[in-house]
Amino acid sequence: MIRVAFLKLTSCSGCLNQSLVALLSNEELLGKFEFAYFTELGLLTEDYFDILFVEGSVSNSKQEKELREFRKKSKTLVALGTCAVQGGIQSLRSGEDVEEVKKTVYPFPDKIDIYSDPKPISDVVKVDFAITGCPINGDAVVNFLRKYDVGGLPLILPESVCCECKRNGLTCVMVAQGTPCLGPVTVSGCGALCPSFQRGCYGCYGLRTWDLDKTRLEKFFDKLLKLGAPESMIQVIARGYGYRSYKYVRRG
Amino acid sequence: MINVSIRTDLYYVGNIYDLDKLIRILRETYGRRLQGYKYYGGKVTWGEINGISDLPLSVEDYVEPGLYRLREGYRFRHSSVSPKLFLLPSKQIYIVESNDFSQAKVLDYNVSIQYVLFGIKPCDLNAINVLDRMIGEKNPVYAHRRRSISAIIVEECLEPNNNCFCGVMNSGPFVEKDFDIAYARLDDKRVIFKYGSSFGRDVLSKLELRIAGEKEVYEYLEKTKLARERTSAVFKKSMKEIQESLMNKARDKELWLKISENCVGCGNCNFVCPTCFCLEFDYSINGEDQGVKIANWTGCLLYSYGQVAGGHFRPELYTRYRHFILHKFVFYPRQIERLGCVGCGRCITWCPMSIDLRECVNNAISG
Ligand code: SF4
Ligand code: SF4
Ligand code: SF4
Ligand code: SF4
Ligand code: SF4
Repeated sequence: MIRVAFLKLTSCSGCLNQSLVALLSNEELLGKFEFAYFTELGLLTEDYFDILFVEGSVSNSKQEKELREFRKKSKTLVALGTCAVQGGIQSLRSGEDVEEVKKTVYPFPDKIDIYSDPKPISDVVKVDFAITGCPINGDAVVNFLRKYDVGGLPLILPESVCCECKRNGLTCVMVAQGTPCLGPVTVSGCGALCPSFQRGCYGCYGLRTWDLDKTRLEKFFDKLLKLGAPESMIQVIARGYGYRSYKYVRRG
Repeated sequence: MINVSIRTDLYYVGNIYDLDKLIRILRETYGRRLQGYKYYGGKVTWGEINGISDLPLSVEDYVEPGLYRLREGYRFRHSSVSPKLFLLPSKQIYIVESNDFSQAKVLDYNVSIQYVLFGIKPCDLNAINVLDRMIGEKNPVYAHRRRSISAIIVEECLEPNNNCFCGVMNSGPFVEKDFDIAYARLDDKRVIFKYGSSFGRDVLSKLELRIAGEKEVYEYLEKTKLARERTSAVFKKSMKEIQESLMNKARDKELWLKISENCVGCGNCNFVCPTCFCLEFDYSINGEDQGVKIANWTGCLLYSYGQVAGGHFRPELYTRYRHFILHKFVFYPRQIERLGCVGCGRCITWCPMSIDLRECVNNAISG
């Protein structure tokens, strides 16, 4: 039996839930894997794992330590979801002074252990495989486990959302309606969900920062501004899904 | 399809309801199924044509670089789809095989159905010719589907849109060969017809159209000439000079960086291009014991396109944009002895960054 663990850091459990639903609807898989650690299911065996899925970004030193320890016990580590891969929605606070916020909210701010900028897990440990998405597409986890079971890994070809949009025969909301859409600069994997409902992509799979430098992203955001997107929206979008991309984009 | 080039001076005139008659005759008398631009839900996509209400007869496409609006009118040119959608579908199931690879089955396509491409554009017809030369029998899906096309009915353009440049690419806006019937809309009601094969002549004779008068033929030829001129005045140099110049400048990194500075590598241009044919294969495991090999559209503008075992052969975006242009203008001619671009302008219209291929080529050859 292949031993699997799901570790949760700072996140909303959306990816865990997606994984769970996908696993439960593929019964033949459940017989091959032993789920050893999954706090939401009350499974807490912590000895060693063949596969460790990590949901969430690293927000404090306690999590950092825990992640390091789990890494040592695991053969393969899979970053699950945009939080783990790029920082996720909590990256909205990146660049803000978290000490100030703590003071206004808590009577004993010193007791709160929290980083200003959440870290993608690859800043802390070695990541073997990444599945992006907010939340991830459950099929990606099933696909991963199936391929692992036959002795391989899925081949992921990260493209733009536009690829899925065009393959699905959708009419471009940006070109045909003037709706700002982040599809061209966003990692594919969702199946162009938002454009299929006539709305623009808001980048939940993370920006394609390995291919696009700051200048090109700036040019793209300028185009969105021309289409009527407010600057504040661009700030939120660019920071909200990625600590990495945050570094690329001008401050508001 | 019958590839006979019949030069005819015979034109017939009818109205848009004769198109309905034509559809019915093809379906009922000849038992064909029709595929073409389909007006549905306020959009024009690709699909089965069953009657006149499926045709985009009362809309027209207004375009600029990076902009497309469908509005009232009677001059529909095209949308982001093309006959490629039918011939080379975006997701093709190639092979279904068992987990231990002991059994494999190439999926069979129903070739007994005889299709007619209805209302495709002159540039589309030329794009099919490009694909025929480039793919032909090499791809079983394409080959099967191509063979199932028994006739082609073309709608010629008397008024090109802003992004059309088929004239200079010698691919429109009218047709002279490789079609069965062609028609053009003189105005919102009158339609002028001609045939390009004996099958086309037989079908047309069943429509009981009247023979066109001299004035109508003159009007048609005059509008055609103007449309050709409008779609020809595009490049600063002749095609031969363009090709030479592109090759001479292929290694000028600064130039190509400048030309591609607005590109974000999204791949829309590749997907909407009626002659882009690149596919990537994806294996997925279906349940316990079955694997499926699927071919998906891909394109050379995408980062993943250049990813190979052990590295990447075009990691920089400018090299990918450069390849797009060079392939269309220089490499296709070497491969298939004709240009790879038919000047339909789709890559210009559907580029979210409004990048204009015509301008890029002009900048490349003069910069
Ligand atoms: S709707 Fe968005 S994702 Fe789809 S092609 Fe247009 S820009 Fe790309
Ligand atoms: S040219 Fe336009 S459509 Fe093509 S990849 Fe670049 S930005 Fe996308
Ligand atoms: S390169 Fe552009 S203009 Fe030429 S055939 Fe392709 S989409 Fe049409
Ligand atoms: S231009 Fe690019 S995507 Fe199109 S056929 Fe050539 S290599 Fe393929
Ligand atoms: S490119 Fe030419 S043939 Fe094609 S739609 Fe435009 S005018 Fe018609």
